[in-house]
Amino acid sequence: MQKLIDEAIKPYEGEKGSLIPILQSIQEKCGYISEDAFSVIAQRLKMSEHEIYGVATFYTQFRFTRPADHLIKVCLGTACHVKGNSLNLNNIVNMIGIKEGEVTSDYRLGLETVHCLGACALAPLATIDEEYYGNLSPRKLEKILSKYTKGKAGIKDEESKKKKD
Amino acid sequence: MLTINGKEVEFKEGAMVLDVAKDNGIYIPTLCAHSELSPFGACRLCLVKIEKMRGFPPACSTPAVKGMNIITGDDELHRLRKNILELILSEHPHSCIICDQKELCEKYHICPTKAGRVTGCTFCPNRGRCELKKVAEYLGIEEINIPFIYKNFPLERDDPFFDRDYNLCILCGRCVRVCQEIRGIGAIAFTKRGHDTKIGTAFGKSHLDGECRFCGACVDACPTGALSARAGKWHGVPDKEVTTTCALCSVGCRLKLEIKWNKLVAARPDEDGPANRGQACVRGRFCIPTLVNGKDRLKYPLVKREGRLVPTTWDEATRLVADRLSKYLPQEVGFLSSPFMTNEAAYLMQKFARVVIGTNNIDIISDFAGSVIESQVQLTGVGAGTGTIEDIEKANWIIIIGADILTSHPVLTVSINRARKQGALVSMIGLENDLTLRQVDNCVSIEPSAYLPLLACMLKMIVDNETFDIDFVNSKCRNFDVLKRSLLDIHLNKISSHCNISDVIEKLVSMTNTSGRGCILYGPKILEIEHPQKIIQMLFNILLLKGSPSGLIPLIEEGNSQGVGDMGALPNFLPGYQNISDQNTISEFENTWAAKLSTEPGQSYKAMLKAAKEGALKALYVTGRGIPEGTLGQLNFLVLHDIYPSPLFEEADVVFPAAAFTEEDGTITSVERRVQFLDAGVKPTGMAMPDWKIICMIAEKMNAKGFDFADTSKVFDEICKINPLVSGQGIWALKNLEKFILTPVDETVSAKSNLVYNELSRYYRGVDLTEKVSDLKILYDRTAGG
Repeated sequence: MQKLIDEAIKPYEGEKGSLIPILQSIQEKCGYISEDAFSVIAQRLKMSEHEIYGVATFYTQFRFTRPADHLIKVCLGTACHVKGNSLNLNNIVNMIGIKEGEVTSDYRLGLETVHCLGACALAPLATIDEEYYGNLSPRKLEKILSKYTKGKAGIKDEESKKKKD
Repeated sequence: MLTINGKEVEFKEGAMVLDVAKDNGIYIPTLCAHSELSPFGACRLCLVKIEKMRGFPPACSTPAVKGMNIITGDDELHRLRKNILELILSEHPHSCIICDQKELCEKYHICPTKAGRVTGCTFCPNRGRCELKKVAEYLGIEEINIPFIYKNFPLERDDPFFDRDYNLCILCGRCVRVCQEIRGIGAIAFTKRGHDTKIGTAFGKSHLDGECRFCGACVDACPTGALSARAGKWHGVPDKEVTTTCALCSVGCRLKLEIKWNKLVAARPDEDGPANRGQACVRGRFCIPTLVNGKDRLKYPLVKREGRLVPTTWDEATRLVADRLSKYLPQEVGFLSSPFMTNEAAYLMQKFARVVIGTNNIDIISDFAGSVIESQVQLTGVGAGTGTIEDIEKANWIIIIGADILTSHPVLTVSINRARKQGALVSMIGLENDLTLRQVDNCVSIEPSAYLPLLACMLKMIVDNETFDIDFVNSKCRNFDVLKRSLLDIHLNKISSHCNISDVIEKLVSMTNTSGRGCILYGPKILEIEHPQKIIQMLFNILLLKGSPSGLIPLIEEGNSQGVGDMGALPNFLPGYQNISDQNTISEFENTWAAKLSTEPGQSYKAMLKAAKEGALKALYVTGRGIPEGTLGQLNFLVLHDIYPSPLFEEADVVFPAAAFTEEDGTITSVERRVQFLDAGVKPTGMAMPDWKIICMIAEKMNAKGFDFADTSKVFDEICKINPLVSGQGIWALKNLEKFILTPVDETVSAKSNLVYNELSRYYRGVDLTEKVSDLKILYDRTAGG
């Protein structure tokens, strides 16, 4: 991480007004801007980290927490709501132990709710990354999630895929 | 020339429309504008009409231009401002501002004010100093037709000294700007945006974890009650305010003491203070009430009976001291004066020692002041630095050496920042951390033992490269050839590689090559080597070579060690640094004081302690502390002035309760030789008395003449008559030297002394501030050493 931050700052060293490009570059390289990154930028640019934080939080484009490897989106649109998808949401919350908007401590899974994924025929519906899982039931959910929580079967698990390569 | 409200007026180049209006006595309501800060344009209340300009430009950030035609107030503008203020008030609890029973309520204070946060109408800690209310009254706001939004931010009170209730914040940005622009720290910033905007820190860190130094500048700048000092928060409007000078360090900040029910409840910096201009530091802003209001303050004179100190009357205690002191031979008595005493007290103390007792055994309890006075007298004839705060602000390059200036003299960093803004380059020798790195251009992190080699190399490089001010050196300096010769023995490469300083010397020297004035501030860390005087000489050499003789500033930490020295509380100097061995001077003083004086130089602070230990000194009169424990073993008689019980109590025979600086009148002299008045805000606690009065009482008991003064102004009159340096308030001028003397470099290796720089900046009269003020301990534990 430290190395990536250093790399991101290097091309802009000593240049005035380069804060936003540096922030963008760090987010591109690391996926988000960590607390450590702020103190490094502060040191390099001789600025206060609070000032930098102020600039960064002004823009919605910057993230300050590490995003999950796999993002679960549970649909709560009209059709899914009628079909009882909020129960499935509760099930997921119980199974992976995080609330909506949070990320698991090992950064494997993140949970979000959305309003309509545009596949109402499949309601109740959730997506994980780009994959659609329709007609969800508690049992089906358990099966799907076990792939991600245990990291087995390799579906969508890019890291393990890479290792195999 | 421009027209404002139909009147043609002149204006200064670069002034904003708001300044022009102010100069001509026209009021424009503002909330975000601040005299010390750059224009911001956040509150939009200062909107005006300017002919040929589109819309309503804000007066605070529109530069005045020749031929402008400005209207600062008409019905339309009034309506507009009213609307804007209503919008601001829709997010600020405002029942106290628009209530129809406001007048009576303010008069009688019917409601208690003890709640933690603003919930109803009377719970704002800023009552009495609310700028929002003033503007609302000016605009005549009686109701607000916009639904009120309470932001419901949690009250932030986990940090020391001040509370933050951002539900009261109107986002004027003064706190953020004062922290960034004036203090150069930037411990807070605007975070997020739109409705979610809040003043805060990165990731919501506490201020302690951020880089806040708790100078309180934000609290003073805040126009609302969002930021409030915790001590004295609920005392409401003070009964009176007294302006005095802070004695906790040597900067000489003017402070306004707030007094309620005859008790000091708060202190704020005075905008008109010549040294501080509305700024203060954590000690001056937050620590004084707790320091002087301690429950265990000494209230009665104490005398030792059967091994115990018991309270007694002033008459008995002073009589006892008078009786005992008259029994010793003059050379058996010693006087140690606290560097926190007033000039008057110091003057009378040395007069008492010399006239009544007949000894020159008098010195200041301070290692650093001793070294400073010794070297400065040698260099300039008087025991004071040559620079002033104005010199710092006008300097083109500044070197700070051997001091943690952010802790010891935070208000001076404001002046350094001002200089930096005008392009000055600043180097810090001896300390390095993130915050100082940001505040200076160049940080050289070296041990005190490397100071001397570094300075010698700098001198060598300046002389060899001939980058010194040749005209100045030729016309105003002596001994240049001696210096040059002494530098022949210095081998740059050898020293610099030995001390690992090769790359920094060049940087430092090239910095001093920028044309214009230089300024060097040196601190007590130089005491960590054997001969600190050598460092002071080398520093002055550099300044002389660069033609900036008036730029040397000793960062003395004690409040009045300058003044105590000026008043002659020194073993070898009479008031005004007049030499004791000079027969003319002596006879002059003998005439004015009508007494025979001893011409034998007295013993220094260190020598007196040694003599006391060995038994040669039998009686000691001490007005402070800071004396190493166990050094007074053989002493026969010890008199103390103190404000709190001290570790010396066991050995003391008589203890007098002294007044703190907030309780006495007099003058003190700051590091820039500025004599300023102290004004008693409150009466001394219990039966305590100011130092000068105690000394006069004892002198009277000893039937001595010349100690009969009605008040301190009479003493000051006598000082002005006798001391050629001091003639009243303000900066006293240095002696006009025909030529300065350059000192040769005779040593480049400096042995370590046994002194370790102990953070002096936490003491007042030897009382550890961090012991009395727990919040300061929390802060200093976090920031110690940088």
